[in-house]
Amino acid sequence: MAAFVKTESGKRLTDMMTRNYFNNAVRAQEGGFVVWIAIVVPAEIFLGFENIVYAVPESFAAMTAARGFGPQLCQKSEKMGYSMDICSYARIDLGSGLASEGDASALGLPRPHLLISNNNNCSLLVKWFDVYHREWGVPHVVLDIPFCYENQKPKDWEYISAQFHDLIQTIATLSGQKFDLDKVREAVRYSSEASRHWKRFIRCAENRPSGITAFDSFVQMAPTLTMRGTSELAEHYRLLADETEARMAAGLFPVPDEKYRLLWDNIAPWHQLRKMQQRLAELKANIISASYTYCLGCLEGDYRPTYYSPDEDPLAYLARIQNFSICPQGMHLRRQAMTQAIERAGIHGVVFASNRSCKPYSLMQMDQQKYISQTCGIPATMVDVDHADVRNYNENNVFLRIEALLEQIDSRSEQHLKH
Amino acid sequence: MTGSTTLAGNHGQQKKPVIACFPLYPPLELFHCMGLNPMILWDLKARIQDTQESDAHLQTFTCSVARALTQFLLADEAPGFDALFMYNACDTLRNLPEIIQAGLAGKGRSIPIFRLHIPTLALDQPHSAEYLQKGIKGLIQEIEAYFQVRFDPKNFSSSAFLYRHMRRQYRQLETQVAHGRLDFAVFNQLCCSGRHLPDTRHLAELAILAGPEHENQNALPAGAPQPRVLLSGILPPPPAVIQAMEKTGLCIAGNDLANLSRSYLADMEPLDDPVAYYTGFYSQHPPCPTLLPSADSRIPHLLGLVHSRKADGIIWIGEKYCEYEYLEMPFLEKQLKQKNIPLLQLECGLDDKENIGALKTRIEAFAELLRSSHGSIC
Ligand code: SF4
Ligand code: SF4
Repeated sequence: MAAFVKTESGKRLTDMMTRNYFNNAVRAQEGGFVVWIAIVVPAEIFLGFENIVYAVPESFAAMTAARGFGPQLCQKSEKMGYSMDICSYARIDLGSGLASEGDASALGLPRPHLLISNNNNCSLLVKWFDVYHREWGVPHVVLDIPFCYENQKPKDWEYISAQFHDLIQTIATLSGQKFDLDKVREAVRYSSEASRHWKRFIRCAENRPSGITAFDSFVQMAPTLTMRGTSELAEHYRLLADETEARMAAGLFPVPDEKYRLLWDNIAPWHQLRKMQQRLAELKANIISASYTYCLGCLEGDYRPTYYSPDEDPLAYLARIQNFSICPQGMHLRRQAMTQAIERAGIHGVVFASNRSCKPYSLMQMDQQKYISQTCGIPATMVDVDHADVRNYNENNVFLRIEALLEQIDSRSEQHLKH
Repeated sequence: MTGSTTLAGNHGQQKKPVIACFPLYPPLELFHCMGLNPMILWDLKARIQDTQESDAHLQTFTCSVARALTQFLLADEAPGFDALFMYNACDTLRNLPEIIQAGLAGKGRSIPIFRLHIPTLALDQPHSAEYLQKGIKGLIQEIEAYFQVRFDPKNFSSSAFLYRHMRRQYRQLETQVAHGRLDFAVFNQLCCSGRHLPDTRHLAELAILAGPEHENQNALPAGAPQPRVLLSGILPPPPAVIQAMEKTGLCIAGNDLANLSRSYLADMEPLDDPVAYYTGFYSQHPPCPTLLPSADSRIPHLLGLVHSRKADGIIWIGEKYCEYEYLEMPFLEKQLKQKNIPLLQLECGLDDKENIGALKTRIEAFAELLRSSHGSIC
């Protein structure tokens, strides 16, 4: 088993994220207009303004959980009356945000002048941002994105586009800043380019053995949320894909003796990344792909990416790709994409991580599990994981199930050999 | 078989196709005027015997509303509805149409599901109003095509009139409850069994109970002998908890429950244009966590109810796993505290039968608290 290696891209990621975080804090202190956004809100729009600092509480919560501070902050919000049954991202963020009342300390995010949420990733986010809206008296814009059970309809696209135009007006009025559509065009180009390299990186999972683990993709997706639309992101993903391909060419693989190729369905178990990866590697298993990260840049039920062409109206394009991540996609669409992912990457088994903290992701997994087992002919298991609150996680129970899954894979391949 | 046939049978108009709707605020008048029997599927806990079917599709961290609904629809003895309708409300419900369809398909059954996205932006904005307009027109076309019926504006206006009449009757009955002349449990049962369908039998029942009383909340006697509480939440508590409240001498002076006052407080003028009607209906709707644009008005609305119902305190019935309500509670609690309005927070779920004892004790303690501070509040 290979020892855990921090790649060049891993080091660059840490630098980038830290720099971005401090830059945001400094820019906010120096008078930047701060918006907090839900992850699917098109951040490229902000780059069309002179000085908008955008922060992403979900990403902040994920990083906090990965650093091991999840339970502490969850407990803080629970003491303030927020139920343990609320999504742990929200509890972490509220524990940090509300506890820091009035002080934009370096530990949290700079205080917002405007909150922007949307309801297609989940509506819980709207309620979560509403808490700040009420507690702090900060205006809250909700983008209403009709949920996609099937491909986006023209009327939905028109409705979303119109809201983006309104949003630009609102920001211009509140911030007093000018808006330049060409800057958005450039930002969208960078995002699309970043997405192209991201796909190149994700496709390294198709190699045998896989050139990546899903855990790499979990970690590396962070700047997609916080630095979309920048040349730095596009360049980072280019180098990431180049480095990963070069490592594969040099015969360097995260699990060189890989026997089991697994797919993960749900948000990353942020508190377990390295631990789970290592324990799996000891079993010669690698979670090589995850619906949470292969979906980025893909639309409605398609595993193939969607790109921006420079003659397109960038706002129209952004409205069209509002369903670029998995949560806003219905069960049938998710199935289509997952089936393609399984076929392309030669997946042996699927781990459905049932996550009490994320109902929109989880409340269809029981049907998905049956469907995938039946139609793809591979075994699947379901484990209980809370993505950010380790108190709701039992490592032994999870590994008991994963080991049983590996046994099922073994017995299927034995049967296969016999026939 | 426990409830399903009874539920369908309640309508007494079996010849009309039944469209089962969820959640609570669908465009009932529209379906009714097009010759359908709209029925709201809600609070089905009492109508299911177990959750076996639902447990095959939904994790146990799903709220009881969704689990009971799924169980009810997938059970072998489920009534044969002609169609389902749902609109967007919460993250839990948005997954249900496909889950239910998959469950039915697994049993060789199928049923069309009509959907409407109700904008979650205030409807005074042109884009959202236009989007709702398209949605309603599209829905009318789909219903016309599927059921081979025609929409008629005059019929719509008559249906709207009937529903307004029924909602008014509910409000009169609520006054009876506040005066202690009608058990809250009976009132709740009546509202639930009607399922918001204004058929003549149900309207007659309501009229008998409402008696000659006129709606006049302000006429409630000040300084009534019993502590008066307002119930708030998605669902009323289980019957045993209601009994416990009434036994401890609490008067349920009003409610902010999704299946009760949030469903009948809107007093819409009957119109023959469904777009104008529903733009008004959803804009003026009593606040509910599921209607996102209404969220800011929940606290003023609740304070208004406390005042008009002369309530001494609020009992909030939390629906286990309903993050929508949970996220609103801490701020609400803070506001109520500032105004010196006592609040008791209870939580109920599918297995609430096991918690009844603990809930009763807390209700008794709350009643004591209200008694000791009675008269000093509001
Ligand atoms: S983890 Fe799930 S519930 Fe939480 S904010 Fe994200 S999508 Fe919403
Ligand atoms: S109780 Fe809450 S979670 Fe359940 S269906 Fe209603 S709004 Fe959704």
